[in-house]
Parts: sequence; C-alpha cells; structure tokens
Amino acid sequence: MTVLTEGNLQIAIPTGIPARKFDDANHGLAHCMKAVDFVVELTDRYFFIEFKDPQHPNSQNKNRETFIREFLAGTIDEDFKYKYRDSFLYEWASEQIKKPIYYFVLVALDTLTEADLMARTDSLKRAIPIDGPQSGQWKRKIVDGCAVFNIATWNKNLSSYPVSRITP
Amino acid sequence: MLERLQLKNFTAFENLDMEFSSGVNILIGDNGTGKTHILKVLYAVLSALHAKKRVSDKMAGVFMPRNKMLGRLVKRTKGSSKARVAISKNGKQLSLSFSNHTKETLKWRNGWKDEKMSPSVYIPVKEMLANAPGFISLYNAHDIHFEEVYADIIYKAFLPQLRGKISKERRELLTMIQSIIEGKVISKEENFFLKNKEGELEFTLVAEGMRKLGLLWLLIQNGTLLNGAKLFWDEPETNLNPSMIKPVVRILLHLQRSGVQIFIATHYYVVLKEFDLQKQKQDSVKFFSLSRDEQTKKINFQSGENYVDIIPNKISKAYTEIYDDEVRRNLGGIIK
Repeated sequence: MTVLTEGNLQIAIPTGIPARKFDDANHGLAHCMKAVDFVVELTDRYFFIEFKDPQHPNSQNKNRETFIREFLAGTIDEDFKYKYRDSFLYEWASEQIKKPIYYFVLVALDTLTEADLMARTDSLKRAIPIDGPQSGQWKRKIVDGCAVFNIATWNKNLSSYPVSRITP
Repeated sequence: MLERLQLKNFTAFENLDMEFSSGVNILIGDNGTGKTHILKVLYAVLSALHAKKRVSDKMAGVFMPRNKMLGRLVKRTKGSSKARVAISKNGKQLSLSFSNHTKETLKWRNGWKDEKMSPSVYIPVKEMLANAPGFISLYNAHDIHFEEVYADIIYKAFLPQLRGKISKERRELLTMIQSIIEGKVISKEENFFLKNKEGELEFTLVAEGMRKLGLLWLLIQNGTLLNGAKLFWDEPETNLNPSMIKPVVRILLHLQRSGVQIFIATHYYVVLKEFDLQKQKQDSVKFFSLSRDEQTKKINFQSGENYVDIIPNKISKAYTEIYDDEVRRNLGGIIK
C-alpha cells in the first residue's frame, strides 16, 4: 500500500498500483502551469486527483466561510479546471497519456450535501469541458469522467482508495 | 408572535404539538403530510380575528369542506370524534373544538381578548394578481367554488398605500424589490400593471415569478407586511427561476428582522439552502420536517435550527440518489 499526503489529508493506494504526487518539486513548471495533487495509474485508466481542505484543523473560520461561498458560487471551478488542463498538457507533452483519464476532486468539507456536490460536478464537466463542440469535431476526449466528492462520498464510492485525515 | 400550535384529530393530524420560531418557520415533508393545513389553520384563525369575522366561517372558507361542514375537518375515524386546535400567541392560548357531528358548531375559548391583532397574509401557490380583473366582483356576487385565500390575497394587494412617512426599513425592502422587478406596481380599477420608464405593462404580460415579487412589493408598500404581521407562503419557489430564490430569501430574512413572523412550506432544496447560507447569527430560523410513519400512518415531525439537523429530509435524499447515479456514471464503471 502506498500512502500519499497533501496537507492534513492522506490517500491509501493498493500495493502494485503506481501513484505519485504530481505537484511536488519534480514538476519543474510550477511558475507557469498548475497541477493536480496526484496521478494514479491503473491498468486501464489514470486518475487525476485534486484535494482541497477548507476544513483543515489549522484553517480559520473566516477562510473556511470564504471558501464555501466561492465554492458554491462556482469560482473555485476555474481553479479545478486549470489544474486539470495544465496537468493534461504536461502529461501529454511527456507522452504519458495512453489511457482514459478520470478526474476526481475531493473537497474535505462535511457540510457539503450531495446536492452541492452534484451541482459542482455538473459545473466542472461543463468547464473542462467533458464534451467537445456540438459539431462533433473532437475525435478524442480530454477527460472521460469527473466528479466532486467530500470525504464521506469519496470513501463510499472509491472505497479501494480510502481518504482520511492525518490529525483529526 | 405565535409560539405554539397544537392539533388533535384535525384533518391529517392525530396529535401535533409545534413550537415556532419568532422569525422564519420552514416546513418540509412529502405530499400529504399536512404542511399546507398547518399554514391554513393558523391563517384562518388569525385573519378571522383581525377582520372581526366568525372563525368557523373563515375555516370553512379557507379549507372548503363539503357543504361548509366543519365536522368534515375532523380526522376521519369510525364513530364520533372531536378535533381541537390550540394556538398560543404572546403567552396566551386560544382553543377551538368541534366534533364530526353533522350540525356541530365550533366551541372556543378565546384567551386573546386583549391581544392586538395584526394583519395576516396567505400567499397561495397560484399567482392571482393577473386574474384580479373581474375575480373579486365575481367572487362577491356568486358562491363560486374557490378557496378564500385566493380572494383574500387580491383584496390585500388592492389596499391603498399606507399614509405617513415610510420607515427606513420599508424603503430598503421596497428598493430591493424594485431593483429586481425593474419597476413599481400600480393598480387601475381591477387591473395591476408593472410601471417603469418604458411604460405600464399589464400583469398578464409580466412573468409569473416577477408578479410574485410584485405582490410582496404591494404588501410592503400598503403596510400589510409590517412589524407584527404574519406571512404564510405556500411554496414560494413556484414559477421562480432558481436564481430568483436568493433575492426572495434575502427579502424574507429582511422582513423577519423587521418583526414579521413567517411560515413557509416548500419542496425545494434551493430555498432551504439559501436560508441556511444567508441567515445571520441574530436571525431566527427553524426548520420542520414532517413525515408519515409507515406503520402507524401518524404524522410526526422533527425540527432544528440548522438545515443539516433535520431528518428525515426527503428533499436532500432525492439529491443524494441523483448524485450517487451521477458519480457512478462518472467513475467509468469501476464501482458496481
């Protein structure tokens, strides 16, 4: 089992599945490209994973409220979108894209309801965008699926890749 | 303020005891769990006393039991049974009781004799102002089969502007609504118009959501919704685009701060969520979730000051199911 961490959050990846932290020092282009937190490579697909932790034990209430407002208003979608697209380009240029990619965003905030998560999932799909132009000109997809989770819905749906807090 | 409602063998309720918040009270629940009945019974009693009318007539007009028989509002059982309605206001109780006997009349104990009665407003699901022309004359002249709440709201909308200086609070509220509906509402004979720089637009040509806000504007402008008033609004979300819910909730919270006690029945997630997000520490908001026990068929409720505390929350559950389906689709088949 591999454990990857981001701030106060950790994800456990089953043994034998290659997984790496993507936005660390090795990235080398942080000055001009955004990056998702982790890339996990399964036999038939990649997971691009982004964690956001507004409920970090050290975070201030005010910052948390600002985040919630921005998140629900969709401002944060922009950030999620660029992180994905830049990571995609980076991997494309590295000739590392050989399988479909699924993009999962985890927002560690207990108060988010499924309705909120669904609205943000829809909005992220539109922003990336998951479908090309209506002309049908795109022969390939830039993302095969994406979804926004909180810790509970992540662990319910992706139970093989459990996420937890390092300190409560 | 209204503090408490107790219902015994009344319509769908066997036993209900609800304590209200002084500010906004939000009722959710499946169809048939009695949300509208709660709004109506409070409205019928309060508006009858305010207008110095007989409570039994008002109940019959608002609920419309067949042949105006109050006994038909007693919870249906075999044999004889008695309904009781008790409402507490400023620490004093008024109670009504009547049986399901055919010629039964209402008995009551009025603890509110010295209470000053403020106006009550009931906004029904269907918007009525566009249908105002001719409706009142028809309603008055004939015994047409229409719930009295529909005629009442038109009457209240027609009341003339309150005399005297407009308070800062009222002006703020009016300005808030004017900026959304982009104009003011005027009435000529039995017709309402939205008036702005471009002219006067008949209400029938105004979007239904805007007419609802126009109605609020009229009720604030003519002083019906002032400190002490009670507002009952059944499904405010009807005909409103989700983006309009935010300003509507802002207006309702503002009204609550100026002393209007509010009761809302809703099926809509965005209404709940907006109250949850917009309420400030000083605001008083209470959520009630009504449900019917599957075995006993009795209606119960659970209440809380936070949206997340209310269980069962059928509205939220519906979204959970959709979200789960959505996630499943987006995981590309890695979960079963």
